[in-house]
Amino acid sequence: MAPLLSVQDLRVTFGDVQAVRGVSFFLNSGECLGIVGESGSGKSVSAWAAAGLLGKDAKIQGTIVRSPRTAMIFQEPSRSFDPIMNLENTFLETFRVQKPKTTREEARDRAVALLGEVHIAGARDRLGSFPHQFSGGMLQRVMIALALAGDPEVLLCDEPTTALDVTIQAQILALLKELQTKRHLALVFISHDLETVAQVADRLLVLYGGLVLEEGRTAEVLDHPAHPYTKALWDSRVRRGTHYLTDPLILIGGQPPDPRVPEPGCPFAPRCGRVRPECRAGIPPLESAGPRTRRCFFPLEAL
Amino acid sequence: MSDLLTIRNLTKSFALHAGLFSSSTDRVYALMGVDLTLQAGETYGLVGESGSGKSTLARTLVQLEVQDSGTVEYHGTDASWVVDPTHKSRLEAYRREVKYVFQDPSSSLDPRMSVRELLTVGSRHRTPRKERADLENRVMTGLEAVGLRPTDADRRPSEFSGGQRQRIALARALVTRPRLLLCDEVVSALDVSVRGQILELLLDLKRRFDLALVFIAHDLDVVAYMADRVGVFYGGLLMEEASSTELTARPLHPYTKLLYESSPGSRTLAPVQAAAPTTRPKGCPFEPRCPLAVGRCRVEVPSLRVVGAPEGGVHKVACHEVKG
Repeated sequence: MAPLLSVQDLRVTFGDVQAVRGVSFFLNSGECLGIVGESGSGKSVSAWAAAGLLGKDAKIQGTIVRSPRTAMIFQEPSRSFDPIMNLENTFLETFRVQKPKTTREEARDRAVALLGEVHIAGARDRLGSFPHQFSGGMLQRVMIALALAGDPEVLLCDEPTTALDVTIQAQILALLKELQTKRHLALVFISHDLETVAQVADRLLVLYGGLVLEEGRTAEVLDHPAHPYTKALWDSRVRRGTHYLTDPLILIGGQPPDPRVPEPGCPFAPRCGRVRPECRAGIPPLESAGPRTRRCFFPLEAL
Repeated sequence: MSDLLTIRNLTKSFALHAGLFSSSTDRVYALMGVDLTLQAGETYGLVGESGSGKSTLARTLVQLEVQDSGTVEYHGTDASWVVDPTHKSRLEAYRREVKYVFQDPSSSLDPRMSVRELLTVGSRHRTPRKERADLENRVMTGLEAVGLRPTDADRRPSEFSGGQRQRIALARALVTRPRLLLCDEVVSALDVSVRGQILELLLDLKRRFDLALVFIAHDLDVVAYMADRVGVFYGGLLMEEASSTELTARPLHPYTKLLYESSPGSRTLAPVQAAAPTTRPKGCPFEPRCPLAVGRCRVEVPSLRVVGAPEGGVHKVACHEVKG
């Protein structure tokens, strides 16, 4: 079966900023692909490009094939809503984009059904509410309900839980996993937090400096990271039960790369503990074996 | 260890609809009566969700907000006094020793100032001319302590990355040689790889300058790592307080347990809003979400009581149902 979303050798520049420098990935039906990376790694730009949402200032190269039934949700739900439209009108507008003759009654019924699906209790009474009357977590649920309006088979999630509290974050993650199963929805889940991505993703794509550094099944990548960056990122998390008096922090030194002046070699070379002269001279090729891919001259694990 | 700050029954509420013609009497209750003692040289971790009141507490400590009732008593090296916003000279002296570091360095550093100006603008007008050289020394010590170069003093915030800017913010706090730093979500806006560097820097500064820290964050694991003692905040009240190791090993309050479970664990929760209450709650603020709630929880605020005194300090819980 052909993937629902496939991105081949994507390159995106904004003026002299090279945001994405050759990223490829695919998404199969019903699976969850996690894309992890820090700010400036190109993860969000890749997703926006994949959704066809980038503006005219972006120069895009590469091939993007996506399902017509693709929807997207964003990081800050409060900024994604029109503050002067209540929920009923927001849903009505969305439905009318898909089917211009939708009546108000139809819209109301469908909105209530969708809101129920994202577990908003008493949805019919809340249709008159405005965005500011909801908490961030509730708004994120509403945004997911809106995304479901077009009956998508692909949902792109750009840091959907980053602005939320941990307990609410857990609820949203549970909801996304539930929809993945119930609706057989394929997810792309983007986050800067490897631990969060690890909770939901079946496969993992690690981006750094606009390049894919590693890809593979989540458990394999985390248990046996091949790229020193993946390992450093996973090791640098603060583990439960550790304390500053007994456990030193494992640090990644240096600064994230500047996308205006990309490294001539591996983007992680200036911060890498295993760096050798070759790493600085040229970008390592992306090597694959089965589902596993990595970009490193001196990987930690053989393929 | 000696006490540094004694906070007694601190309350603070904000008008929900501010403005001259607002008729609404709705208020947001941010602090509902907080009792807390900070010791010199210790790191006190404050954990809680947005709206729990943890930032309001820190802001009240430096009188960026003035409390409705309750007192903050500061135990200085030579004398103790109750922090009073009308006593200007004492407040100034207090604010030199207790420093607030903001969450977002890009919005708390004036983009038009050089790093040197940022570090000295607060102290310059009150430093006599002959002590200016000493001020410059403190700027250099501050920059060196946070891992910046002396030449960085002439650059502007826009030339630095987010992590570097947080270093500048910390250097600025150090210039007045404080005894206590209030670190309000200082790593939340940073990338994972940079976060570790700033945490390490805070630990280093704490050792070097014998600083006490109030470390505020929403990530329980990070707070427990950094702190000697941890307070769990919810709805403007301390729900639980214990040494960091004790809390990790034996969380008692249902809210603390929920926080632990919410990180990467089981997640079966009713969708309930966690906003600050707008009517003064009669009972426990966590009652609507609490699995242990009984009738009493709805009508009576639980007081923070001692449930045990293991090694490393007392364990306190505010809950009617939890047995010590």
